[in-house]
Amino acid sequence: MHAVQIKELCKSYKNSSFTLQINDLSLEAGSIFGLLGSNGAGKTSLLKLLMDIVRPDRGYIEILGHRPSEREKLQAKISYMPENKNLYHNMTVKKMLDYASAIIPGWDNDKALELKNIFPLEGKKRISTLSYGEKTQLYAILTFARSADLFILDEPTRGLDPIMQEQMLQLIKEESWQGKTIIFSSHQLGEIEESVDSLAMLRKGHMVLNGNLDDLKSELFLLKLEKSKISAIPPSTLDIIATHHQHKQSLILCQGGMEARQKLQADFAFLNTENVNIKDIFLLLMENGGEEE
Amino acid sequence: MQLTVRTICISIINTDGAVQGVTCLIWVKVDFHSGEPVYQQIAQSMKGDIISGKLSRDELIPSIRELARDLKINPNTVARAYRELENEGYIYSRPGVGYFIKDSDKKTMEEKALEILAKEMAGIVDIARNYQVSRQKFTELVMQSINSAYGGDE
Repeated sequence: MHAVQIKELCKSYKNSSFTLQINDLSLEAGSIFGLLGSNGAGKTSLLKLLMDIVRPDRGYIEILGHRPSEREKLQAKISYMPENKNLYHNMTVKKMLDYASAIIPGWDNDKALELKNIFPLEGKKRISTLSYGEKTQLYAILTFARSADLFILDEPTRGLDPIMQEQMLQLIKEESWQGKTIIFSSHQLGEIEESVDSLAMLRKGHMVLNGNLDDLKSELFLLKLEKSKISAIPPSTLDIIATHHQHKQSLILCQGGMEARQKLQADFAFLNTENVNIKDIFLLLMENGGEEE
Repeated sequence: MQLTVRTICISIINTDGAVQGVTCLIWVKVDFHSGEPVYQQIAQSMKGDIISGKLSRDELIPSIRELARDLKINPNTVARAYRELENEGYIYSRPGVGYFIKDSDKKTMEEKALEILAKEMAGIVDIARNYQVSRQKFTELVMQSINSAYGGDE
């Protein structure tokens, strides 16, 4: 079952050449989905489109069986942590949490108490005096103290120290074990690789790659060879995703399973193929190659 | 980050009316940042334990949810590993009870071991070829390693 489905989505902005275009993206219910991309790639825009904070020029979005504009049906099912984690400056932490418990639908007091232990913030502190990381922790309590089916989190670990970062990822995983769907954006390739089931990489508004993490690792490989030897390989034998040249060496990100890899190595003795991790894939795709706009 | 997990599971198996208690100890190490898919790392690790005899027939292995929790990964990933192990004849499932190590004769185990070795060897041969080591020198090196592990000097 799909928690989110997107088709032929397009969103442009006034006075900006940036356009977000997602042709086909589906997220399985109960999975953790990671959104990667350099600054300005369109991660926050995509999350805002899901939340109906901005509306698309055209295209189709379905969330938990509804259109994003059906707010009253979705309100109780989605919990959102925005990129901007500014809250009421003058309130104290305690007052903010009391206020939230009174107005946020689906607020679970027991869960809020557990979360306050995980993210121990001083209740007396004014929000204006909190660091960015502390504001994120406060937002984490507000986001996860609600019973929701889908959590949309915009950079939920930004500004957190490594221990709190680990707590946040643990929280995300625990929600997914209970069948909840989580979508989160991040710049931390490591945390994405450790926690997501599937992911998408955005580059300048285009989705250059998406899929199940294990599938991507099985289906992609890196070819390392001397630049001068590229011409010896007929282009039709390779399914190239991205290339990067450094000094005398070329790194080529290719698509193909184990059999394709073995055949390639048998046919061209000078070739060297390697497994790729998320960092390899990301750096190669963001530097060049991928879908051209 | 590498994660090492020890899962102990005590199983009670009812064979011919008799109740047996079996304790199995499983170590699964997962490297999230390796290029090898996580489900394959789990399957590979268990295959090694089965072939080397650390896990023997009819032992109950951790449930999908237990192992997923220990490794802090999605149950679907463990399910995928177990599916591969089941398809390749390493484990079997008893609905409602769990997954067990399948009975295999020595010959089958040796065949499976050779299958894994062939894959590992292919990688090593590639390295040798990339380093431009001659066939003769490489054969000598392999023989040396074999002799030091198995004994003998031929």
